[in-house]
Amino acid sequence: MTASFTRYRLAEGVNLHVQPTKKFKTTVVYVYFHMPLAAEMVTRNALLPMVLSRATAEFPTTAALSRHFDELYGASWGFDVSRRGEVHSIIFRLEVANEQHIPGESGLLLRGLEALVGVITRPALEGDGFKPDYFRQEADNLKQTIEGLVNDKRRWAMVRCTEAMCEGEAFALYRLGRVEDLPGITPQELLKHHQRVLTTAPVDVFVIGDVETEAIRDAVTKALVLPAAAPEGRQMPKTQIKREPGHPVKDVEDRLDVNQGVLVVGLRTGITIADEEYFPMLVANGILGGFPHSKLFQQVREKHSLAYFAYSAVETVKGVGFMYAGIEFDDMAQCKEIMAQQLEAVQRGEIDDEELETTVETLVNDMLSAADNPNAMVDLAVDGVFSGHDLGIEDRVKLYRSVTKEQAAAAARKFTLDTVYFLNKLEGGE
Amino acid sequence: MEKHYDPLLKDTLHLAKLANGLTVAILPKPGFALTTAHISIHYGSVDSRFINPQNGQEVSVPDGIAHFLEHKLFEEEWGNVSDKFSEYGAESNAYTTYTHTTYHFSATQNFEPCLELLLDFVQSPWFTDESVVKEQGIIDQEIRMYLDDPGWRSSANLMEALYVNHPVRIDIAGTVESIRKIDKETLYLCHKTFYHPSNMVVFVAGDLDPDRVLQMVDAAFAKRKYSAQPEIQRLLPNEPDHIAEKRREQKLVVNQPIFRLGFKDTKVGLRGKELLAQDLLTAIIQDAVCGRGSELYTNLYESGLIDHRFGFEYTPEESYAYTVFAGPTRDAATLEARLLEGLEQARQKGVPEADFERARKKTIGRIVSMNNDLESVAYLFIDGFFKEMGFFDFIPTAKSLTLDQANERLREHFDPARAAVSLILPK
Repeated sequence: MTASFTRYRLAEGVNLHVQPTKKFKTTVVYVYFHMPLAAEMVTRNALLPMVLSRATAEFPTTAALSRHFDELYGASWGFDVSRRGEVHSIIFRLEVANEQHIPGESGLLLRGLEALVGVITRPALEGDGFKPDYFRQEADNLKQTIEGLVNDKRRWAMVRCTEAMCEGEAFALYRLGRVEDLPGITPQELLKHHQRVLTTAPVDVFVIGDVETEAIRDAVTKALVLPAAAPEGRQMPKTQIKREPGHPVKDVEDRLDVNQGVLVVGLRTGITIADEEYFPMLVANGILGGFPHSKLFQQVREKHSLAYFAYSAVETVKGVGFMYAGIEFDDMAQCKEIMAQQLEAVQRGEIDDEELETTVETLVNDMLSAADNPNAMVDLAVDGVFSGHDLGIEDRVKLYRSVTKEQAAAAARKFTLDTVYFLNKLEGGE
Repeated sequence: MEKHYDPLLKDTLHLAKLANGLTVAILPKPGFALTTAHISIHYGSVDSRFINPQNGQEVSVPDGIAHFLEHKLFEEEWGNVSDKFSEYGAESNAYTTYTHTTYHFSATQNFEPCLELLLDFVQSPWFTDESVVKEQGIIDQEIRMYLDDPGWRSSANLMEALYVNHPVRIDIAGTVESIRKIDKETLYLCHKTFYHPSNMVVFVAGDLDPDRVLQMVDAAFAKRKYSAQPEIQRLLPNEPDHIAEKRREQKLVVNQPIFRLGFKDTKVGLRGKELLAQDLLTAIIQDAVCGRGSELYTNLYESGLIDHRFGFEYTPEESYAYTVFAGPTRDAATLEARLLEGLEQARQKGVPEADFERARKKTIGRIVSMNNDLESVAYLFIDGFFKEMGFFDFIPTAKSLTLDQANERLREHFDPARAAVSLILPK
């Protein structure tokens, strides 16, 4: 029932993954460049796609480039930077309507692909650098966006907890980089970084839609012209895995003028996507706090009425996790206590049949429903890139269903508290 | 059951209206793993004054009660409804808007027990004094969470500036004070009044048999033996054309000002095709004048007044409608002046045909892609249903619009006298 991706190796370190399907009314393309998450380039990785998206050699102004995509029946396109473990991926995305729904049109996908590759590889230049105006505007926008993290208190708290927990590790770096790096970057230097990305990053291209695999392989091969790889080749960056904190629990507090406190408890899960205990670990997280039926939501919100949200989440490449809730300032100690108790309960195997079954079936439902969403399908394929295991949806469903209570508890026993972060109100506040 | 086939989207919508007044819509989606079912009630946060159809008396209820009721329905005497959905491996949720309340689930297995549960729990209120108090604690935290959310605050403040009397100026969740006034008797009354099949619609999409689904929905309602209920009279205060205030400002922990400019629409009272045409026309004109491909956007962006987070949207409802332009900015006063000036110039000169056509194409493409995802399709259907917009009318309507209509709409809607600004400023 669930088809899988056909993979083509276009060059060393450059892979194309195609999945033909008639389910969707659009075709979706993703292009990933995997860079290391490292202090010396994190800000450059984040800034690069912002500047690239401003203009290309063919469409030298932002308006001209936008109009071109608009003419392709509103082809939607954009970029993102993701951080999984210590891999910082620069991602470009394109979605075009399938022509069978737009009578009289043809070639929308190929024209869209050509324009997207233009954004990635053929920027608008001035001299030996990016156009200085566009560069300056985007550097400024990036600064504002990084500083704007504080506007979203929940995300701010998660990022601050990660920073504290992973101090001294690359994972402490925020996905969008550091404001203090910006003054040191020039249009010329960023263009050199562009070359570095094009010649050193492993590349994964994903295409999902009503397409023919061979035709797509030919089209992508023809359109995506990349410079030759650097001598060291396109190496997938490595992530430093720290399975235990190696220090007593750290306490960190920020004070801002806010109405609600946010508690984030950072954990080392000790288990990653490449490990055998990966599926038991996901089940353990589901029992602990992944869903509204989980222990955290039931205890913190439903039983004690302390919070509107109370969840846990895991990052599976680095091997860290978080328990978090938005609470009254005075309830911090009580909430922290409940979270620790719930984790201990899972570790002791205090899991009833219903909890296990509900968690497994919820994870299975998420997995099966991924087949209905092109973005979720790409996420799963990217998981495969990181784990080295090419698992289809059905394989994963079987693995979830094979997890026992004891396995989930054993995985949870590897979770260790590392850092307790609290976003508190200002001292003397009401 | 009526069948409507759309040759552009290549989908068939099955529609039926039951004797008790309930509309059932089913969209088969062959090949999809998920099935999604939504039940939506024409009851939102603005419906806080109405005539009780049982006794003809006027009722006024606390603000935020529709949202409170949405939360509380998930609790039954036998336990928690969302836990039950989880046991079936399904995901369930609900949301309340200004105008409707929707409960939904999506499942890759156990579809039939899930559908039965959905239809049953929305018809089975069970409230106790203790559970009402507990919910007040949870919603209190939800409201406080939004008090720290600058986007939410900016939007709420704008609604207060645009509207003088209309309850759309009050937060959907109500206030910490108003929810304290909610008790179980009022919850039962609101449920009895609004959760009548004639005031609801069911939408189901997935790889399924429409006849079987219809039969199940029919059975789930037949056993409750509803008596006919006349249309509920909702009492909305008279809303003048003018805005309440020119500007609202609030200080929060943000890194830079968050700007929001709203235009209150005075052309209200529309439904169906007329409202749909106005919706699409306004979206097209906004994009032509202010989209990424426009001169105005380029100027604002390159002056550093806006960034990629700038956006705009038109919200059309029968009793109120407005356009919003919003984004963070370093200089709110200059952005306001330049944006108003740009819109004013566009009103005078009109939009070039090429820009209009480009924006139209983009709109059509976006409608096609919205039909990709079952959850967006469900939203599109439900939102349109209560406004009597035809599900397959979007693309044909977009195609029927003319440049003259667009320019007329531009002049009529973007009247600076109906504009208000909401600013969130750094503390």
